Amino acid sequence: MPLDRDSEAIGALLLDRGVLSPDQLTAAEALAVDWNVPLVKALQARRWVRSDVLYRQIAFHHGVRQVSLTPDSVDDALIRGFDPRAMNDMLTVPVARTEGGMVVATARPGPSTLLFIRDTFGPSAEIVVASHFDISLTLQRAFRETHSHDAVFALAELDPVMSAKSVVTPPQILTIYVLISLFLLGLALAPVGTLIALNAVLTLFYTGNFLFKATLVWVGGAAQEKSSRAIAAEAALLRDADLPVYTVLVPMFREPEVLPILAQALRNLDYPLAKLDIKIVLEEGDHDTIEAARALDLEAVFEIVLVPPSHPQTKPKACNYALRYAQGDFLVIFDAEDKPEPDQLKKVVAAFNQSSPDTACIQCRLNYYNSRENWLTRMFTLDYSLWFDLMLPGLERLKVPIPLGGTSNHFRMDVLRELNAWDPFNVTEDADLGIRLTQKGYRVGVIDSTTFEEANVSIPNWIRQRSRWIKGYMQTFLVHSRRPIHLWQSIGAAGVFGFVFFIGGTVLSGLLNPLVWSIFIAWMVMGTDAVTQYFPAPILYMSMLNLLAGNGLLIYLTMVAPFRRRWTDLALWGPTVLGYWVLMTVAAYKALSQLVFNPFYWEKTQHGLSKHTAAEVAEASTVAEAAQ
Amino acid sequence: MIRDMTLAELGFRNGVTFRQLSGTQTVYFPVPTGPQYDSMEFHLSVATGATTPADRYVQISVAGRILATRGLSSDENSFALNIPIDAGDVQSGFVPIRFDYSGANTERVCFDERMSGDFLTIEPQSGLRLVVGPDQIATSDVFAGLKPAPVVLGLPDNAGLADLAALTRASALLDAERGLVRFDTSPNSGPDWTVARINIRATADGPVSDMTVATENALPELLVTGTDPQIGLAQLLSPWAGLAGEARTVTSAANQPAVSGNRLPLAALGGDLASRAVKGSEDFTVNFSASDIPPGKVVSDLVVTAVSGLDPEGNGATLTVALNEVLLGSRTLSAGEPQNLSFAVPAGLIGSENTLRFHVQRQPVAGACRYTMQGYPAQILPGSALVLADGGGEAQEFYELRQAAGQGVQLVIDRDLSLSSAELAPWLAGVAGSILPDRAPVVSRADMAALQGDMPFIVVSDTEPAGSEADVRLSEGRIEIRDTAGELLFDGDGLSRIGVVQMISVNGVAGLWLKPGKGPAPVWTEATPLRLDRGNLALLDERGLVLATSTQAGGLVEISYPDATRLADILERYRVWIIGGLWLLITLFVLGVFQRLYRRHNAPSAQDD
Repeated sequence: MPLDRDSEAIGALLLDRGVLSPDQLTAAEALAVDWNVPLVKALQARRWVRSDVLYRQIAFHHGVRQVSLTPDSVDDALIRGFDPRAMNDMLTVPVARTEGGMVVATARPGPSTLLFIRDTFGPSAEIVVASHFDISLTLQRAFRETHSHDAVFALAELDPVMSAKSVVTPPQILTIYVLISLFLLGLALAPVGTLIALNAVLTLFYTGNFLFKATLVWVGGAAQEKSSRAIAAEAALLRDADLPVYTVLVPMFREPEVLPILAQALRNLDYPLAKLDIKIVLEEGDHDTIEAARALDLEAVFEIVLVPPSHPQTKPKACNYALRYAQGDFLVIFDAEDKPEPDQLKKVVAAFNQSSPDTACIQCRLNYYNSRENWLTRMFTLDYSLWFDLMLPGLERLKVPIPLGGTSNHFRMDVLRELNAWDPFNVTEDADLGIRLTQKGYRVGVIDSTTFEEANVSIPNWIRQRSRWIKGYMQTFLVHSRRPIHLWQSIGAAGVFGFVFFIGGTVLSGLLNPLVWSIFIAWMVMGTDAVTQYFPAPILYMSMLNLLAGNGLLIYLTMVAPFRRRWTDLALWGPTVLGYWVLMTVAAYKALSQLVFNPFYWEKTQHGLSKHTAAEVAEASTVAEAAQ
Repeated sequence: MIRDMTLAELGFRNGVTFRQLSGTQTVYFPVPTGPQYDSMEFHLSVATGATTPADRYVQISVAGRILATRGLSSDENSFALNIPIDAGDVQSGFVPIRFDYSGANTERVCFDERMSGDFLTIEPQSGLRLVVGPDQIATSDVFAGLKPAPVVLGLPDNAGLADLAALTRASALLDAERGLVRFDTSPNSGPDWTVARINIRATADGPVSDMTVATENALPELLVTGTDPQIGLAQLLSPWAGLAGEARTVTSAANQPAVSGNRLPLAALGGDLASRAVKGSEDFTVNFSASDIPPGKVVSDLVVTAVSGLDPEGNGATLTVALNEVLLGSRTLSAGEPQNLSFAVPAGLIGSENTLRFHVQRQPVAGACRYTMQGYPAQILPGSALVLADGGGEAQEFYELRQAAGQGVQLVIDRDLSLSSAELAPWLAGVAGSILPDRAPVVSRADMAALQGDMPFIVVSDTEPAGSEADVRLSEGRIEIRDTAGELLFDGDGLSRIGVVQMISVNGVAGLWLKPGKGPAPVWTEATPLRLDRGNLALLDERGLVLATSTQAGGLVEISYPDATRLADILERYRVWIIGGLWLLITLFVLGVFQRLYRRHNAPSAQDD
């Protein structure tokens, strides 16, 4: 598609005024044509022209003033009188009232903007040009309180039953109370019988758990290859010009050291940079990261969104806030240290094209680039390989709600906004959102594209991270079990079964394992007499099945999980997963404690501890300096 | 001196019974060949009857000579005969006496033998009466061969550990658990020799065991001395008794070979496996004790080599095998030649005393009053054996301890025991007789710290042995033993009067703790013997065995300590209260939560107002 007239004129102007060299102009025009974007957008994807210079020339081209929007020069009350999303989409804000009307600033002057200004602000509005950065900052400033409140409370106010703001609801309290009372009554009247009954339930749970996981791996394996090839083929055929605008949210908190890696990873994406709406989401008080981000002097497609301080200080709240300023048709969240495979966004677009209309989210796989750094990273890698490579495809195939992984989940923007996005009170907001999507009638797909992250190298750090995940699973289970009949009706029997075993099972096995191990140790040390009366023959046989077949199967699956990626050397580490389970148990009890005493606390995982990351930081910084 | 040796004393406690108009039984009365007997006479006491008139008789043969025969009428219910016996009828130390019972239908009426309703019982009091001078019983082997089964053990007043070890071993050898060992001090008196007296005197030095026979009050007495008198006793009651045929017998060792390998032949267990003619059905029984099984082994299978003769129609018999009346399986013996059969033995069947029963059945070929019912032979051949496998582990129950004690047992008598040796003896004898196999030597130890190796032990103490964890703890004040319905069985003083026997473990070695009671010791009899089989806890009092149970799984009693301060006991005692309190706390907490929710729910409404 040829360049539009405005782009041609602005290009000529920039050349005439010596802002661009002929080669740069040629390259920028080629990019604009290839990507099907205005020349200005193409230039914003490169660091050839400083932003103030570019907007000065744009103002000159359109014969209007260029203004710098400062807090003193803008009437926030005036701005709050209009629809923030529309203003954000058009990059246009009213800045002051005049006798005849208003002064309206825009970063995207053109025919459509002119129409929007006339319709919204009146025909007599005076149009001025301001930078994209200024417009966005002005909108954030004006709607700071409103958007901050919405980011926290929108879901709780509009769909309270889906929010973890209340950890447990009165009916849940009553149910738990009745169950505990029945258990205590049983202990008082028939202690042995009660413990046998409890033992039977636990044994059935463990049997169901490992059978379910085995089923997932079995069911999921077959369908993967075929669909992976189809998606990869379509992704390769997609033209840049046809690609939609993609919002990339990168929430960060106190991790300035990984910013260069992030920027480099995003630049490496096989996707037109001009069609990326990258939001680096930072907390207002995180001065180190803000300074580091500004010092990098990133391309204009990188936008910094500052989240006002409020409780709870969680990643989903930050994402909710940034969502108000997103401009893409699709949205993905990457963590700061993520390294997605370059063609991931294209594969997702292809996957959405091939999926049914009810597909609202595509989950990509996660794995680790520092998998061989130490035992913990190896185990973490095996864990993720089992989870994402073997089990999630099974969940998808069985139409079981998929608890989304922390990053690399790609959403349709309209659905995300319809569902009020993430629950800021849930510390695994992504897992919660995955279940909520299914409950609301949408589908979550899984594709064969991997985002590589930094595996935790430190056990205390790992426990912090895993305790947050397990606490989030507890919150998710409590939220979605509030209306069991509704849950059954909305996701079906298989969905409920999968939900109970995949979400509840993960939590419960972590909590129950010490009990079961203690019984096993007591049996080993004190002989069978100590536990015989609690293990009638059927339970004993099932327990033995769990002990031998269940654990054996899970260890086996852990060993074969890395085979898909040809990481056969990791298989030998599979049997040591027992130690990893012990760590999971520690994390589970920490999670339970926090659920009771500090339910919304976000255990921050420290990134950048890996020696691989240090090397990456150094390399990325060098590249950034060279580019400047 | 008169020595009456009855069938009951030889083990035929119900005598010998025949039915269906036929039967033969030979009983061997042990009669040592050394003494000059003044007279020998067999006293026959018979009870008989029949529902249908038939010609029947009983015939008594001694050493192959028919000495008496007697027709039996349908009207006569009982009679007695005295049959003199010559000294020459003693063969190889035995007088074999054979009973033949036979009969037939009359010529007038034809009937099936199975319908005859006849029986003949040689009463258990039937037996051999020997008249012999006490001076004729001059050697230990003659004393052992002629002695009555009931024995009085005489111990010195200041009995030491070696005396008590010998007493313990003697209790096992002489079946104290059946009341055949007594400790009264009343003097023996003639002329009837009904109770044998054995005096034990351990010495600090000299031979290991030294046995002589003396005469006291016109009756013989055996004196066993030496540093370890039990060795001589063990010899006298073993196949090596014949070596004690001198006026003084000195013995240094008397061991029995241990069973090795993974097979325990039925022949070695003493079962009567001789061929029998089977008309309708016959039982071959093999009795064995847990102690016949080597320690650390369990019975996994039974292999049987059996053969049955074929009747003229070519039919064999059916062999059904049961262990302790639990059916192991059934096979047909139709080959007419030896067949090798195998039966799996489920775990948990073996007890302290066991009975293996081979029931052979065949369909009689007879009838129409033309032929008498014909029996065809069947036999369990000597190759049959119990197959042993490794297993077991530490003994948890009494019968397992009996098995574990096969190679011996260590005996610890607490120095602080409140009972004297004489008071202790009846408590210890019954327990030792029930737990210890005959072949098990008793090794005395000074205290618990002196226990060695993995040999099981018996400790007699008023207090809980050091290093053990007993089910009934005597150090925690008052004890209450209740049944499963919560009814109080024993408590406080009542419990102090009874004896408590329980399994304990010290350093991984199983043993038995006997706490004698302060009340009268139990008196065991043939009718009420002490059998410590299943279970790990037994209570004894003057009536005998009050209770034997397992405290580990499905026990019959609950033991509690009202004055105890152990956390586990407090939890158990106040379980219901603790649970109730916990429930109350939870309820209050839940109510508090609901109250907060209610207030929070109402708060905005108040503001609105």
